[in-house]
Amino acid sequence: MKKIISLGLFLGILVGLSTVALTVVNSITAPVIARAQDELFYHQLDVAFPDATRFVHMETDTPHTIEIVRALAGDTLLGYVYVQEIVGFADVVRYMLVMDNDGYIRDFLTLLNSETIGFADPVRLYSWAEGQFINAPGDTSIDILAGATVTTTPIIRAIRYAYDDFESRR
Amino acid sequence: MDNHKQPNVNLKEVFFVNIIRENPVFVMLLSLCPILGVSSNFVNAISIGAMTGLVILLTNIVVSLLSRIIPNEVRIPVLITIIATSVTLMEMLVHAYIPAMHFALGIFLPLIVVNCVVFGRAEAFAIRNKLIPSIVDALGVSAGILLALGLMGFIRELLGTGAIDLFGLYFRLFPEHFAIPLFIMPAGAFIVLGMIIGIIFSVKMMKQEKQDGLLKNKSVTKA
Repeated sequence: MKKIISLGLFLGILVGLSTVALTVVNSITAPVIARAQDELFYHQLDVAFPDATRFVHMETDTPHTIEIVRALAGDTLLGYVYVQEIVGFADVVRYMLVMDNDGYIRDFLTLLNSETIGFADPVRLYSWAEGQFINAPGDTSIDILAGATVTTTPIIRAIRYAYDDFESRR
Repeated sequence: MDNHKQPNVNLKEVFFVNIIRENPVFVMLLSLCPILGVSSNFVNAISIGAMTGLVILLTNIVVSLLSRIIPNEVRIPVLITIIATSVTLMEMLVHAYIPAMHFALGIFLPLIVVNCVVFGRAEAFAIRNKLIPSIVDALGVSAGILLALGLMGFIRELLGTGAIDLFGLYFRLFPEHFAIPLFIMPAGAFIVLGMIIGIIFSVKMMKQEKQDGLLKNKSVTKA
């Protein structure tokens, strides 16, 4: 019994030390990561709408949609950016869908891709988007990407939700 | 575990044996998950190799330093905790300071935690040896993994795209229409790995046969 308790205590102390080390490193890296992600997001917004003078974040209950941003030049609406997230074959894919004021999809930018490498890497996803729905109306018919069916099926569904949301705001 | 400590270790032997003769990937067939998954291009292959090497180094150092106080009965959960902590620390640091590498390696970065080589070196070497030999062992194994991943990445990218991207320096070696995209697909990884292992074992067998022949000749001469 004594032996078991001492072994348990040893493991407990080790886990405690490990937690302290992780907490310290996380407190250093988390703000850096958050700042880098914000910078990337706003850089992508600037690329998507270079003429915009301000971006307004909006509340949303659209499925798969984390955030909707309205791009404005003065009081003129230029379009919307939908930040959507889906779970594919292995893990999360987060992307920005840029839609202009006429309901045309103007860009598709991957922000996070935790899928298995080779199945739906950002380059493949972008060339799939470019070949089918970039510069096309939001309700255009989209084929899945061969070899990444499980990833692209929910993306297509999420794009439909984004377009429905856009239509409801028009 | 201190009673297991080996006092005299040939550091040169410890370092070099892991690079070619007992290469963890090509000879011991460990670490195959990143080899097959991330070696589709040279830069990614080198990146995951370097990350794995850093984790092995950190784990070996911690395990070697703690080996005096690690109870034998719970050494497996202790090693797993140390490895998991090292990998998570590395992942957080890479995410913060080398986001491009974090983005490129994706799930394979946290998956280093289940890499057999990391656990294998901690259990087979670091826990039984002093700090310096453990560091040398980690460096040797890391060099072996880097060599294996680099070679795989180089061959696959070259045959699959006809070009090589060496950290920003781009070399096209033959026109794209002569490239065979199969080599950057998962099947290509199996083919290249199989060919390299085949070559290594053929050379080993040839050497062995040569040695056996020499021994036979000697015994015939003596008789």
